[in-house]
Amino acid sequence: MKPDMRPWRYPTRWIATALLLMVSSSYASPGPCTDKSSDYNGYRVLRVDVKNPIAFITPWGSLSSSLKKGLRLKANAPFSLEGFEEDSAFLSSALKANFSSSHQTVKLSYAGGQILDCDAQARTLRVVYPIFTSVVPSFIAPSIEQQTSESERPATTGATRASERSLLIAPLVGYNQTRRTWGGLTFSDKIAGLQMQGQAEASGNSLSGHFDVVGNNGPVGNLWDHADWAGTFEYVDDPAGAARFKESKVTSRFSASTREFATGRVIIRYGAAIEGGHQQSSATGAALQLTPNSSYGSLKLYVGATGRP
Amino acid sequence: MPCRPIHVNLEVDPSATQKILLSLDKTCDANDQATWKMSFELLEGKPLATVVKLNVEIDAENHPQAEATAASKGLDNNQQGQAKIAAAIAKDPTVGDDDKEDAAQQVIAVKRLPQTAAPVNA
Repeated sequence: MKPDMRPWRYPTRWIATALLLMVSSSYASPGPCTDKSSDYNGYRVLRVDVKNPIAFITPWGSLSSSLKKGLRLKANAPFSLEGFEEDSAFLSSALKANFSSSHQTVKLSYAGGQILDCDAQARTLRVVYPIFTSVVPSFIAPSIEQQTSESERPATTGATRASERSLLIAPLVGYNQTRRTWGGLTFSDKIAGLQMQGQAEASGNSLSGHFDVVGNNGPVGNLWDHADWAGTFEYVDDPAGAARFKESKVTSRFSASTREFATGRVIIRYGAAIEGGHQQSSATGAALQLTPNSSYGSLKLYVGATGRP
Repeated sequence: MPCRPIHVNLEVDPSATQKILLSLDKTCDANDQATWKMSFELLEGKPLATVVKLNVEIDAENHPQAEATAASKGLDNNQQGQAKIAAAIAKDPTVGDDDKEDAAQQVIAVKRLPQTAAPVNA
């Protein structure tokens, strides 16, 4: 028996096929963008990407996503050669500025620009900025050099690091003979003018972490011209030879300085620090003679004057 | 090949009292014409202070070398040697600006390009 091929026999299939043919005939797949950049002025940008080959190191605090915010070209906005060139130059400047946060001997950065998936009929395209930097983002963990720099040049180093992005989370992994393999997380964020930073590390035989909140305040009447304060919490539970050492400590610090007095050119500085906590040790040998448990507390006040002739 | 922007920055800190900054920038105009610019800066002393700063537009005949330098993201041996010469010339107060810029231009010009295929003789 001959099959019935009349269209009305399988209406759904015929309609689907007809629609598919209509769509495919009117759709030209995006192709390479071989024309000069200015020819694409006015095209709609479907997507803007900053491609960083080492972005996987810090997927939560991606350098690419933070840089993307400063770009002039945006998705669903028209393309312009001027914006394309400016964005590439901006990325280069931003990467170069990050050089100051590293103590590497050789630092290299690269920023380019690519136009992809151009569709002449739909007048759409995609923009990709490939970037690369040999400077490992400073928020992964402060290196020994950075910590030294922070103590030697706290203002400039602090400003450099504080000017970076807000929420940062990065994993940590390490090994040392005492603690064995350890892992943890470091994070920092800035909320309502408060800089928060924390780190937690754990291994099979140890646990440690700290949490710091730092803030500052501008002039308040005659009380101070500038004030800084900080609150910290620290916890350590580590093996120490045959013994174990535990410590937990809470500290709170405040310091302020007045405006320079017109008479005498003197600035008054004052502050306070309060600390409290306890230390515990558990020794297996009596010869170690360690105090098993000791509490600790202190209150410090200071006031001073700085003058100039 | 359409013109697309490229920016490369290189910073070398040989010691605490010396810093070398090298930038290579390619920009494209509306006619797709590329402009390559190189800036060279040498800082010395404690605190670091700029001793030499040169901004040079790369000659058109050296654009392939500039493109190759940017693609390789670094200087080859020839270029590193020429960079030292350029730095020495740039610091010499008896040398004129044109000669200093020419020496800096040579940092790009001496880039060793990949060998092109030799013509086959029948």
